[in-house]
Amino acid sequence: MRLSYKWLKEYVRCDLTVEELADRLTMSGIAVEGITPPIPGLSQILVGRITELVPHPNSDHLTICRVDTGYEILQLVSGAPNLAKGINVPVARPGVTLPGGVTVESRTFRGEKSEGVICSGAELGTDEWGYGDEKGVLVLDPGLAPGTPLDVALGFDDHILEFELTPNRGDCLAAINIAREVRTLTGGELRLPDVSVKETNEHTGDLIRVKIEEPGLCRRYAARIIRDVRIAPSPPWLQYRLRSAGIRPINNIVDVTNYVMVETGQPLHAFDYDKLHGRQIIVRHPYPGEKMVSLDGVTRELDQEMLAIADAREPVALAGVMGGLASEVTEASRTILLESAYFDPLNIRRTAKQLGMRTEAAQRFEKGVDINGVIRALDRAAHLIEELGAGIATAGVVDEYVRPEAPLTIRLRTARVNQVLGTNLDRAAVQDIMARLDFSCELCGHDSLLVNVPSYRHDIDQEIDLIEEVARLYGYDLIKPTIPVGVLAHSNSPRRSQLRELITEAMVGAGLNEIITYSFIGESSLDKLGMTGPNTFERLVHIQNPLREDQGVLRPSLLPGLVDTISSNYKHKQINLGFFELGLVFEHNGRDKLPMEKLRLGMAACGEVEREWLEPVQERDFYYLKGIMDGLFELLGVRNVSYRPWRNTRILHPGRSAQICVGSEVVGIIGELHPDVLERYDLPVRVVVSELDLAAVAPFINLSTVFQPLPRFPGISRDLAVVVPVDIPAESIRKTIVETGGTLLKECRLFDVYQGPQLPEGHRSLAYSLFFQSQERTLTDEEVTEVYDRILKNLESQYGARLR
Amino acid sequence: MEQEILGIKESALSELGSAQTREDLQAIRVKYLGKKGELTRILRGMGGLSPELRPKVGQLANQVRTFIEDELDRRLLVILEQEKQKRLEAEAIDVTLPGRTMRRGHKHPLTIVLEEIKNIFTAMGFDIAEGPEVEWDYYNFEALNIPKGHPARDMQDSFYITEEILLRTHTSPVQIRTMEKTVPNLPVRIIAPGKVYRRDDDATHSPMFHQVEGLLVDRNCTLGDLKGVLLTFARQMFGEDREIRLRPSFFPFTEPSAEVDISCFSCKGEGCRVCSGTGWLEILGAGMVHPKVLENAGYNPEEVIGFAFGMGVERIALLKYGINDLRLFFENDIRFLRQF
Repeated sequence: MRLSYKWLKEYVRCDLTVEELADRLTMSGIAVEGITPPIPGLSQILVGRITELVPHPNSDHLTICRVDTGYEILQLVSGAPNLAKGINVPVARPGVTLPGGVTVESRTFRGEKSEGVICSGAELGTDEWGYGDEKGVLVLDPGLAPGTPLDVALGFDDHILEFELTPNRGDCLAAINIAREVRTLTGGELRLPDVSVKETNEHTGDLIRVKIEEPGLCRRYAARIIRDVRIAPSPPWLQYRLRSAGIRPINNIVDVTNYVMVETGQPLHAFDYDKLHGRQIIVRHPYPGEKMVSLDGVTRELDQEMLAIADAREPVALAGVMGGLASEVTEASRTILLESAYFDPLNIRRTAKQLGMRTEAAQRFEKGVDINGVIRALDRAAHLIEELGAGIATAGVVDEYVRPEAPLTIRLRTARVNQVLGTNLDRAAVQDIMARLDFSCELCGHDSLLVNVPSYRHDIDQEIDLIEEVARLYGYDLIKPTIPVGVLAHSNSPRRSQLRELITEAMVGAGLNEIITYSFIGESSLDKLGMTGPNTFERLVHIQNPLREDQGVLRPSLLPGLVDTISSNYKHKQINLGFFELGLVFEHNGRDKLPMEKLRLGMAACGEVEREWLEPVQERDFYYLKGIMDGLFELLGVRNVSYRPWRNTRILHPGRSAQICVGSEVVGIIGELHPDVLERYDLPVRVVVSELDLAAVAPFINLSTVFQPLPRFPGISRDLAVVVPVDIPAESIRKTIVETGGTLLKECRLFDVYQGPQLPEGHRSLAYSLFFQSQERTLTDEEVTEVYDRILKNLESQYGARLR
Repeated sequence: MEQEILGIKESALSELGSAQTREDLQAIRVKYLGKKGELTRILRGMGGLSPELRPKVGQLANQVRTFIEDELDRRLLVILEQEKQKRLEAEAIDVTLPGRTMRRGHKHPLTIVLEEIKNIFTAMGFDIAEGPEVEWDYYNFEALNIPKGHPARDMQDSFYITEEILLRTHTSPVQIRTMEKTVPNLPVRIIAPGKVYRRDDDATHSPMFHQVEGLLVDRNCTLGDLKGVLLTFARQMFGEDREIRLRPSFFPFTEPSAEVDISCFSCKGEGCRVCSGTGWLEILGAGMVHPKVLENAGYNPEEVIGFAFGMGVERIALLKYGINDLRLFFENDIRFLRQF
């Protein structure tokens, strides 16, 4: 909503500067987002009077003018056809920038100097505001004194207030209701517009019959007929006001309807009465297949949910949204019908949205207009039309009011006000605020008021709405900050939230960087990753209205985001990377159920760990991520973790990937990306990734710690290096050692893996450092040797191992 | 003979004075005190002395021997000390070379801000609550007093999964879910952090972003309490000398509602580029829980009362770090992430 400050002041006296007013309105909930002059820069342009005209010696179309600007006499050269001695014109001196952006310079035209420019309405941009759309320079009021700034001369010394209204305050899409807000703040008197109408003897009721077939969607429809219509452009003041509100002037009749809409908030529509068939207005749903050409020339298919205004034959307007071309007011119109109605907000909203026509009228109807202001708006329009000499109204109004609105009275308890706001107001103070709002009220009981809510404030229908009025007018800034008082409560914070923090801390500690990627991805990125299988499509959660195709589904995995991040960083020549993301993945769970949401941890890495001079090269390879994963399991107290080679995968390298299991349950995957995937991402390096389903891990998490007494007896270390066939997993060897070692074996650490020329083909050597210790006694060499030998024997018999 | 012994003492002493290493000392020891040493030789030759002279010379020779031994020991200490000094000097390293790094990774800036927010509110007795990111229309809108067709739905253009299921457009549905779980007990005192989604993508809007919702429902609580809690938050988050300002606003699920500004921490409220010259930064929306919302969740709005607030985490992170582009948060450029 845009409104000129000068216009606003027609309805209410206000001595505040526009900035002060804007601030006070904003702080009372009517937000002013901007204050701009109607046309910037006009104050730099002065009124000048042409004192002398001399033909240009070297040109037959240029004229030399001497112009008095009040301060000096300038010589100006102009080619305009409408120059005359004694007229007032706008003059821009060199250095002045015109509203179009051109900066005026001193120029010489065929040997004659011009110390500035005499401006046309088009150059100034005032033509669109009703000033100077004729050819030639803008001719100003002869009564103006030379030297007067042009904005003052034209009445453009004004400010356009731009309101950013909240959806509940649709009433403020009316200048009068903004004036009421101003009055509430400043106490000035409200001046309501003149709605007196001179009428002919002809009865409106004889000229038109109105029938509402859909009373649920149109509770009131009123009409007036205007005779002797003379279509003409509106006078400049009216054009100026419409422009200031952001509306394009068209002709006097249409302009009046728009003017009244901005003034009262009630949209009006003017039909060419002679184009209406059967002297009838019928408010109804369209019949199947009915079409209408709207004012913008587009043929509209009308669906049967919409509401049409029809004559005896066909729809002539889409109720509240747009008129029809066939009954448009034109130069030829002699009699018009003015419509003022109340339409159902939801229906208007739906139609406007469906057709993409959020017209000024539709915006007002969908926020609700004042059903009791329908006639006043109609009369106001008739009054203005008569004032402009554009026509004369017939006698009376045709008014179909289906179910008159009952006046609304709400009980407002002072104690409740104070309870909600934390204030200490008495009833008189509350009553005073109601009075400032012009809400009449009577006392009720010892503490309450019965408040009559005016029908234009349809946002108010219960006590809390009135409490809000008290709060905003009392002033939020006067409410003292306090700290809530209450009983302590059990903490119900979900474990998941603590887990997130713990894991984030661990990942960052391990050197990985956290990323956050969009929850939606494109299906194609699943193809790219080799993640699509027979049921993939059905298990995905599809977004009906994605912004882009590559955001069409909710991610079923964190890997697409992670690999994309590796890829985009790699393109920036960042080659040593380590990332993790903690986030939800989604899985379809049946049409009438919410999708399953699972918290997962994903990791991805490539290159090396950034190193300084002293540090060994540490590749970000499979074992790098596995080490981080194992560290995490240790932190979370998850035992029985195993890694099963995972060969049947198109996502990961079949020889370098594993399923992560806890007990017998698969809880995640880890491995190098499949070379085909790397190729599709155009990545020339190996990338390792991992994804862990934290919901599956959760039952195994054990964050409690039980203290073990420190050992009192010394232990014994032994190294064990065995040569085994390479296809025997190291984990099997370790298991045999640990199981055979029993309770005496406290530690079994693999410290070397060797494969090379000193060993038989197809064999490798695994070297373990074993540590034996007892809680009860000092172990003897013999005891340890016995266990050691048993371990070796078992390794020999189970895997054909031999001591190296 | 006595002269000879004293001569030995003199020469040993002078050699000791010029000895530089342990080897030099050893050579001196051998030369004078060894089996074939000069002093040993004299002691052996004492057999040829008269009995009267023998004890006297013997005593002198032993005195000189002890003297030389003591001197050898003393000299040894000096040399050891010198050698240690030399060794330490030789062991000197360049302390300006970089150390072995503990290479930590970096948390995402949004995580850092979120944790900070959580810490402030949990210290004030708020619990953490969570809810699904894919929500029923009922929880996201209806129960929050935003029926179908309500103009407020325009403020939050949504991603739909089905007619009735959508990506939550705010964390406010967690209010309803938490109250439903708690009713009829009191108090409800939670914050709900999480991802939210709106169908908007430009320089100032991301289709996915993060919010933190706050809700307090109890027998007594006021708009003043809301102000107090938010003032505490603003000061802990942005500095002790911050002020807050509430501007009346509208949200369907709170009434009275407010937009909450904090005084600009960059210019202390004088007006600068950060706050577009206003001195204030808009950081959150808040209000008293609408009676219909309490009712929808099963409470009697005549008996309980509540306040709620919601803030955008990205907005706070942008302000806090002076980041100029929202999209940086989700591009995950390592050169960006490493800065936090």
